[in-house]
Amino acid sequence: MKYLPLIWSGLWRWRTRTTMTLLSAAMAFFLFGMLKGVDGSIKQLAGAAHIDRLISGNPALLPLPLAYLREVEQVPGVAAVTYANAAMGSYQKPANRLFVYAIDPRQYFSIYPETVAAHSDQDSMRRNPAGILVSLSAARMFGWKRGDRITIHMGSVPREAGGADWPMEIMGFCDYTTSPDTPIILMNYAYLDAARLSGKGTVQRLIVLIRDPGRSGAISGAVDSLFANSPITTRTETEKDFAQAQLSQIGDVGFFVNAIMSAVFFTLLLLVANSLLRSFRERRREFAVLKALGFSDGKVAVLVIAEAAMLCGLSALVGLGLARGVLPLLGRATGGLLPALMPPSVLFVGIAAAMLVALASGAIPAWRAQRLSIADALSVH
Amino acid sequence: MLTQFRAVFAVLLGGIGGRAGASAVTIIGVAGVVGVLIAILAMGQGFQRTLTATGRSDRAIVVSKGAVYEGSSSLARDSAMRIVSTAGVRKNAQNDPIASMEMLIQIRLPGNDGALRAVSLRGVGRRAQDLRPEIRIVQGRMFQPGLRELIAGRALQSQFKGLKVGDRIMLETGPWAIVGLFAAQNGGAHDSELFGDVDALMSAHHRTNFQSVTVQLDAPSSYAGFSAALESDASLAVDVHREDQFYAAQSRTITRVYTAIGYFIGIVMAVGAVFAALNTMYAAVAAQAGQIATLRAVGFGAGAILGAVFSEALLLALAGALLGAGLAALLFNGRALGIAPGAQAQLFYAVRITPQLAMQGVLFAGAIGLLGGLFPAIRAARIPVADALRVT
Repeated sequence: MKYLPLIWSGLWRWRTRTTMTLLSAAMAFFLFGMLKGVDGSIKQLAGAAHIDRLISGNPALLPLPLAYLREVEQVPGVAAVTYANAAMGSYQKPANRLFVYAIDPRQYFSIYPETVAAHSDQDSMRRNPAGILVSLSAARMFGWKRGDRITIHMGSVPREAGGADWPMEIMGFCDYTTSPDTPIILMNYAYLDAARLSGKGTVQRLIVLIRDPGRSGAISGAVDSLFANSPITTRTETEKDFAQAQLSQIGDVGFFVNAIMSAVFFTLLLLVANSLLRSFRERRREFAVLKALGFSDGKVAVLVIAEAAMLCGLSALVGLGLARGVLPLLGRATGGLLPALMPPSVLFVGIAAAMLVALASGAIPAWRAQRLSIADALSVH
Repeated sequence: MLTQFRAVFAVLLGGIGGRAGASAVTIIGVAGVVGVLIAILAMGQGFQRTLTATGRSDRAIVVSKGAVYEGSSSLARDSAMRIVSTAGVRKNAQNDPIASMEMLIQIRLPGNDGALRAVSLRGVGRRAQDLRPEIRIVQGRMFQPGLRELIAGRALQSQFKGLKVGDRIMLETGPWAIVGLFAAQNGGAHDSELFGDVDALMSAHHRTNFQSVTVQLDAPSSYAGFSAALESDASLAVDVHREDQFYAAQSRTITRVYTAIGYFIGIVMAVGAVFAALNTMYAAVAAQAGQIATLRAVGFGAGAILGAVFSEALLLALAGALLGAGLAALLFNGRALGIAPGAQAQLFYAVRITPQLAMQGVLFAGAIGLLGGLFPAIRAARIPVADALRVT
């Protein structure tokens, strides 16, 4: 610890060069933080899937008749069934996008315990057909208050009366604990279904709560066999499998992130190594003086490595800090489509990567510092 | 001026050997930026090219109202019959409308890596071959109507091991034989699909509704009358699209996403590369300070020095751009990628690193070189002659 000032002043011996190297390396860690942050929070979302919930939908994405719900409820092992209907909506202008879920407020909250809403709010939503609950993030984003009457445009859900503008009244709030930044509206399915132009009496998917997660395979099979001979068949899978299938749609994100990051870190390694080597070459005499003062060979080598670690560590902190600040902006820019919280693991992995880069790039200068001969380095040339 | 420039440039380049490390870092840094940028842009473009190649302006596709993808559309048989008999649809010699009422479902098949992936299975009508003359059988034969036979698209076949001519695949209701392999002239989305007889497939899957109807128009100009006739009929509740526009619209969002991601990552990496280039060029100027000052002392202008430093930075960036574009072409050119837009089945498309993309990369690298050379060039032009010459 007492050598910290020594390492620090060594690092800043050539201020411009160190600043440039640091900023350059910080960009690498910024990119790492952004890519891993997006990738990680998508995975976290998939990981948040409940093992006691099954999702049942048509393989060709045809809507399911609502009548299926009663039949699925009779399957042994099924605790409760509800449905999900998602649509994209916009408030006032197309850029203000949000998700609209048409739900059954009597069952939805017991099947989705991660969606938190006060019982009084749930009750008032139930009593008013046009009543909705809005997520805290949506309320914050659009400045909504309880009792506000708003109009939401849902282009994919035209109304029987013409147009696709849906009047709604805010009865209260809900908190989506798994994706707190996504703007969401919960509306009454009955209200939507009665007023829409087409697809009446259908739902996109059924959500099946089961008693024993160990029997999910058998129950899925039992549900699908109910409708095997209907024009609209079902495919039932666990929420986790469903989430993973959805993720694979955007391509193999992990593969791209890793490919790009290996290219970036390879360059970073060269950059830092080059900077350290030059710095060492220019300070050979100073290291020789340290040795002459009684620093052991090993200690001098450790000093060089420590300097590398400080450089990389600082870069990582700057870059990852920047990413942490920018990620929520990205989440807002995509209308909450991209979850925007950096999982803490990204920070740890980032710092660990920085230390590895420091070790690898500091190895040659450290080795040279260790073998440095005082007489050679101090001789006048 | 030009001779002065040449002399300074020679001095700078003369020192490049001593700074091989720093110069290599700049070149590799720029190569990384350019390679990543154009690889991502190429993915977006490849996807767009594939979807755009699928549609033609003299064909129209009809889906149910509000459906953006065929998969979310559903048309009853009587609606479909009314659509194909609407005025504006071209008839063949036997006076049959050239049209195809189609079913589209997703099935899951094991890919080359063994994982189950979604695949589009399209049931096509008897006139489908007249409708899409660009699709040709390249191996085996056409399926026979009414039989449990399928033909596979070439792009699909390369990604799934069990789709060779003579193989059998299991559908919900039993085995179906792969009897042929087809290819569309310009690639296109259908190259990633399985085709079979629509009636056989619908009865095997207990279906009564089609997903879409595609028709050959009399002429591209017949579109207006055809779509007006159908869309004004409230009992049909359908949307009519020109086929090329329907597919182009599907590719737009995804291409935009790729472009945005490509430029975001490219710009972040470029900022890093600019700092690395600044370092290299400052070092170059510092190392040759004595010689630059000598040239200044004998009357060389600041402009020549500025230009020479700029040129070295540009030269390094250009070398990096070429290396990056070359690597991207080597690694990605012709590679088939899969993507599943809007919860549809996988669609395979080839990535192509075009000269235009490489040019875009070079321009990007040029910007890095300019920014990275600017401040060092100013410093070089301002070297105080007396100070620099005093001690060397």
